[in-house]
Amino acid sequence: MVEIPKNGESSRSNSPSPKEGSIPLYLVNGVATVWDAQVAATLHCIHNVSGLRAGTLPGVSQQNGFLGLPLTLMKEETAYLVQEGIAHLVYLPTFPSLPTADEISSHTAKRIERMKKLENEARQAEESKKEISAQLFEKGGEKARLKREARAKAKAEKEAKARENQVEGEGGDSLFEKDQNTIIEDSTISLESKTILKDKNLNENITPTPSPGYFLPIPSHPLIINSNNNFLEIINKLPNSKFQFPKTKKDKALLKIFTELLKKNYRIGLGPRFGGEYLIYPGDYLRYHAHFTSQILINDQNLKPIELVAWGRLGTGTKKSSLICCYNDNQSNENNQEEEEEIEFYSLEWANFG
Amino acid sequence: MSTPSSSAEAGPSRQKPSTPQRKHASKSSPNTPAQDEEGDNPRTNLAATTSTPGGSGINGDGEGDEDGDDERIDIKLIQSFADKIQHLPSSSETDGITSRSKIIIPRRGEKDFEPLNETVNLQEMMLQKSREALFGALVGVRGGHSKAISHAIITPSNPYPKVLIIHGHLFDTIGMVVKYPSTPQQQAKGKGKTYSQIELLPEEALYLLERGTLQIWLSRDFTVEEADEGFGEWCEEEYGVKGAIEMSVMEGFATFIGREGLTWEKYQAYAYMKRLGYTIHRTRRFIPDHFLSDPSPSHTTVDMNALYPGMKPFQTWWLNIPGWISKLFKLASRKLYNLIGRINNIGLGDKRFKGTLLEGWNGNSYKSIFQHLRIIPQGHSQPPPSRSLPIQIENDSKYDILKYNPYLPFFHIWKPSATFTKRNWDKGSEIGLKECPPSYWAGVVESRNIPIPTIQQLDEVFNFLPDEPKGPIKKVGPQYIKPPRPPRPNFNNNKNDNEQQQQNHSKFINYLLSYLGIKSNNKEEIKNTNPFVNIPALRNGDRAFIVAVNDSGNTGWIRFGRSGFAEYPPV
Repeated sequence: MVEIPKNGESSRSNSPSPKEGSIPLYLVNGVATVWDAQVAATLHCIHNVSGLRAGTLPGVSQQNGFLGLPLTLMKEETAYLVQEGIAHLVYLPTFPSLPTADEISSHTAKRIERMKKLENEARQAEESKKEISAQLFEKGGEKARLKREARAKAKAEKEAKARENQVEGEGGDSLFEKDQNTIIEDSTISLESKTILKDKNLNENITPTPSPGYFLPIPSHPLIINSNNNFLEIINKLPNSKFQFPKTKKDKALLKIFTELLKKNYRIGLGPRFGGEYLIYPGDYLRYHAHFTSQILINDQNLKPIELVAWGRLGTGTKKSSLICCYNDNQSNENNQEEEEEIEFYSLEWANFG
Repeated sequence: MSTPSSSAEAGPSRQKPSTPQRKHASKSSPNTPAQDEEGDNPRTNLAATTSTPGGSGINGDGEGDEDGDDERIDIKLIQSFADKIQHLPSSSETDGITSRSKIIIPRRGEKDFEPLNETVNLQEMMLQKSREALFGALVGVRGGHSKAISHAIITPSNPYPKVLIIHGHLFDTIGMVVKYPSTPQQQAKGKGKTYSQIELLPEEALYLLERGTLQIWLSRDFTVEEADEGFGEWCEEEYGVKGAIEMSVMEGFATFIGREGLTWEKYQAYAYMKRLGYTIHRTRRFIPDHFLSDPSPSHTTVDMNALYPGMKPFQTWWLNIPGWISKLFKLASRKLYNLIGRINNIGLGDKRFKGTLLEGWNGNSYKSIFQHLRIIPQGHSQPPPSRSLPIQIENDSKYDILKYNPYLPFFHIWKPSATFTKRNWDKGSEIGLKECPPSYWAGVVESRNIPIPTIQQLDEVFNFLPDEPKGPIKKVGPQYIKPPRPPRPNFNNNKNDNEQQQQNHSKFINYLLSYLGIKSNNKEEIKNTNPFVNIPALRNGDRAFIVAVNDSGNTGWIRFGRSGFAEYPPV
C-alpha cells in the first residue's frame, strides 16, 4: 500500500496550488469527504470539526451503529474549513481519468511483484502453520495413543480378571489369556503406524495446492494520479459552481453563526433530531452532552410569543437550553462600506415567581 | 471489557473472511429492528446498541439521563469496534501480528499546560482514550482474502460494472443479468444469438466496493481483437484484470453517486438496509433502461403496464361508464328516499328538521342519520381536490419526476427472512412483484429542503401501492417465541372454584333482579352493540409505504399509511 497517496500529503495538481499544509477535502457530488484517519483526527482535535462517518466499517460490515471512513462534512463545516484556509476542496471527476498504457503496465508489474511476495509469504505462513499443527497433532496423537493403550490395558486386565474368575471356576488354561494380550498390543501398534501414514498422506496432499491466496486490499485512494490531466481541480474560494454553499442570505447567516460558535470554542453537531438547526457542545462530543439547541433568526425577523414558548419547551424536553442566534447583515445602510455582520446569542430559560 | 452482544453478532468476524456473507446478514437481522427504530445517527445512535445486556453502570446512567436519545458515545463501545476492524496482515503473519498504522492524536495548543503524569486530569485522560479508540477504529483496511473477493470491470462506454468473478452469496440478491446480441464473430464461434452478463447498478457497485467485497477494475474500452487476447478479463498470472487498474473507493463514490438518479441520500438509505441484511432493489420505474432492454426477438412486444407498474393503467372515458351508471342509480335512489321522506313528512307533519341538514331524513337508525349527514364524498376511491397547477414533466430522464414527487418509492425492500430470488423477482416486473412481494416500498427524501408530502403526492403514491395484508399480524422471528410457562402452582384451582362460586352468585342475583323487573339483561346488550373498531387495522391503514429521511447523512425511517375512518364506522 505504498503507492496510495495519503490525504495528509499535499496533492499534486496544475490548478491553483493550495497553501502549504492545507487539508484536501474530496468533493463527491457536492459533499466534502475525508478519506484518511489521521486527517479525521486532526480535524476533530485541532479544528473542532467532526463530520459524520459514512462508510461501512471494514471487518464489521453488517451494522449501522458505528461506521467508518469516509467522513462526510456538513456544508457549514466544509465552508468554514475552506474559508479559514484550513482546507481546500478537490473536485473528483464523475468518471475517473483513465491511465495511460505505460502507467497500467508498470502498475501491473508492481502488483504482480507485490502479490507474488504476498502469496509466498502466505504459503510460507501456511506451511509453518502446518508444521506447528502437525507437531501438535503428533503430540496429541502420542497422548491419545497413551490413553488408548491405557484404556486397552485396563480393559484387557478387566477381561483377564473376569476370565481368571471364570478360569478359576472352570479351571481353564492361561495360555489363551496371554495370546489375547499380545493381540491387543499388536493392534495398538498397527493403529499407530496407520495414523503416521495418514499424516504423511495429508502433508503430501496439501503441499502442492496452487495458491493459498493472500490478503487483497481494496484501495481507498486512487492508485495512479496522472499529471497530464485535470484529475484534481482545486477549489479555494466559495461559493463555487461545484459547491454552492454560502449563496443565499440564510446560508451566509448559517455559516457566520457556525464560525462564531466555533471561535467561541463550542463544537457543533446536527440539530434537526432535537428540533433545532444545530446541537452545541461545550467540548468534544465524545465527552460531553450538548448544552444548546439553536434557532436562527435573520435580520430582525419577527418572533411570535408562541415560538418562544415552543423553543423554551423544546429545551426543557431535551434537557438543553434553547439558543437563539440572531444574524444581522446590516445591509440596510446605503453605504456598503460598513457592511459588518452582527451576531448575537440569547439563551432561553424558564423562570417563575415563587 | 464487555463487548455489546448485538454488535458482536452483527458483523462477520475478521478471522473468517470466506464465510458466506448472506448468512451473517440474515443472522444479524433479528437483532437489528431495535437498532433501526431507535437511532438515526451513526454518530450517536450507539445508545441503542449499548442498551444490550452486559452494559455496565456507565451505560445505564447515560440511558436514564437522555431517554435513550443520548448523543454521547461510550468509549467501551468504540473500543469494541476498534478491536474488531480489519488490518493489513503484516509480512510476518505467522505470529498473528498485523501491521497497524498508528494514529497520532493531535493535541490542541502547544502552550497549554501539560500536566504531570501523577496529576493528569482524569477527564482529559478519558477524552484522550476515547479519541484514541475512535480514530483507532478508523484505520481499518478494506478488502479480504483473495479467494473471497469478487471482481468487476468498468469502462467508459458501460458505466455499469460488469461482474467477472463471483465469490460469496452477496450476488444472490445483487446485480442484474443483461442480455446483448452477439456479434457475428461470436456467433461463428458457436455462441448463441445473445449472450448475457451480470452488471451492477451504481448503488450495488458502490456498496460492494466500499464494503470491501468487490474489486472494480478500471480500463478503457477494448477492441474486439484485444478482448480476444484476454484484455478486460481476469488473468491469473497478472493477479488482476488484464489491461486495467484497481478502482479506489474514493473514485467509486465520485463515479457512482450522482449517476442514474443515485443521490447521497438514496445511497445511504440503500447501504443502511443492506448492512442490516435486507434485500433491496429499485422499483421498476427507476431501473435504468439499459437493464430493461431485451434484445431477444421473442420479447419484442413490451407490455407497457408491466414496464411501469407505477403508472395508472390506460384509461378512457368508456371505462368509466359503469361508475357513472352506479352513480346515477345512487342519485336516483337518494332522490327517491328524499321524496318518500317528504311524503312521510307531509303525512306526519314532522317539521322538526326543517332548515337543518337533517331535513328530508327519513330513517330509524343512527347509521341512516350519519349517511344523510355525509354531504362530502368520502373514501380513497374519490379523487383528492385537484391542484390548480398542472405538473409539467420534462422528459429528460426518468428521475425528473422525483422533483415533483420526491416521495415516489425508489426502492423495494424485502426482509431478510423473505424468500427472494433474482429470477422470481424478474427485475421488479408486475409478475415478479407477485412472486416476491416486497416487504416495504420505500421513498427517499432529504430532510432540510423537502417539505412534508401534499395530499396529491401521497395519493399518487398510494394509488399504485398494493393493499396491505389483512388479518392478524404474522409474528415471525425468534423475538416472538415465548418461553414455555412453568406450570402454575396448585392453589389456582381453589381460586377457580371461588370464581365459579362468585359467578354463580352473580348469576343468581341477576336472575333475581331480572325476575323482579328491576334489572334487565341490559349489560349484555350494551356489550353487543358496543362499537367494535379494529384499532390496529385502523392504525395500520390499507396501504402504506416507508420513507427514508436523510438529514445530512443520518437516515431515519418514517411510515406513511392510508387509513379512512369511514371504513371503520363505530356505529
